[in-house]
Amino acid sequence: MDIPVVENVLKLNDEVASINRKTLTQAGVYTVDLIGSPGSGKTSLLEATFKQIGEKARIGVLVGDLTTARDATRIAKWCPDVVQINTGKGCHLDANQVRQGLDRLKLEELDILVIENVGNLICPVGFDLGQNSKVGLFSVAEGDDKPAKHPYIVQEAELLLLNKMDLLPHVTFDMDVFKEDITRINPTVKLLEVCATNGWINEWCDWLLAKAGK
Amino acid sequence: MHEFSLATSLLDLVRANCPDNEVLESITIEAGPMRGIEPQAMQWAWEAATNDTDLHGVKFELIQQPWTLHCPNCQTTFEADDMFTDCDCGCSRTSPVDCDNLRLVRLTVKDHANELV
Repeated sequence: MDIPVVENVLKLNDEVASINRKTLTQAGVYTVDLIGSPGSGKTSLLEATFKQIGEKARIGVLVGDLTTARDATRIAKWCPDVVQINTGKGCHLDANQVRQGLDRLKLEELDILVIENVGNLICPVGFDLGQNSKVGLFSVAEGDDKPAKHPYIVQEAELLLLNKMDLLPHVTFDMDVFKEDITRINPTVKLLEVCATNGWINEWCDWLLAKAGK
Repeated sequence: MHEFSLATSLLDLVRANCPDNEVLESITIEAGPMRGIEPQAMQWAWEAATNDTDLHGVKFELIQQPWTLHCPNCQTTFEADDMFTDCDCGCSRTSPVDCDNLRLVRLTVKDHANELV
């Protein structure tokens, strides 16, 4: 006998995410879920962001990694409000892990929270964490086909960043293909070109400050 | 391996939706192509997640939905095997819509009629 049901498989995660969102909104914190491949430059982007606007806005960071606290150690040089979450075998953060991370931050003192997700373009996308927006980070070294191969992040992101622009002359990367694929998957998503290691991140910083009302 | 996370999330959802007096035989989920679910990995994840639980042996069925694309030119919506499929009107700016479903849609429980025989 069949019993029809219509339930979102991630209902429980989404319920905790709603609680996170309420907590963060009440504390006046703008929250970004930063998603990108291993090596795309997520931590370097955050380091450069602190260097550029660390005095204009107070930014907290939750860092997800399978193991090690290396990213948190790097970020701690710039910011006292950093919490490392080790996911063990988990390929993404879930709302409950973020919930526990939030308990370790003084949210009322923050303007912005960046959740640096586990390096992965697939798994993290489907899990709501309670963020205001998802930001997808690509780099030219990964190749121009990544949006087509990982459409979910392109669809879900409010902003996409293309990093390591200084390497463009040295790698095989067709900018037209990259942009056309993105436009086809998500005609309204914004794309900014950046280079975290050289500090070419002005537009990203402006976007972040505007979102946080700073 | 987000399949394992999904399988463990499913356990709670299945328990919450299955009536107490029924014997569960199988569950069915529906997944859109955006979710990137690998059927073999999902099957394995379900078996691993239910092992040593009250749901051990419950079968798992995955319905994979095709891409649903919208054409901004003629405003039609159609199904396709590939995300980058042009519309019959010739437009190549089709975009995916409602392709990220991930839903538990059916529980199949043991038929009571069989027990009466």
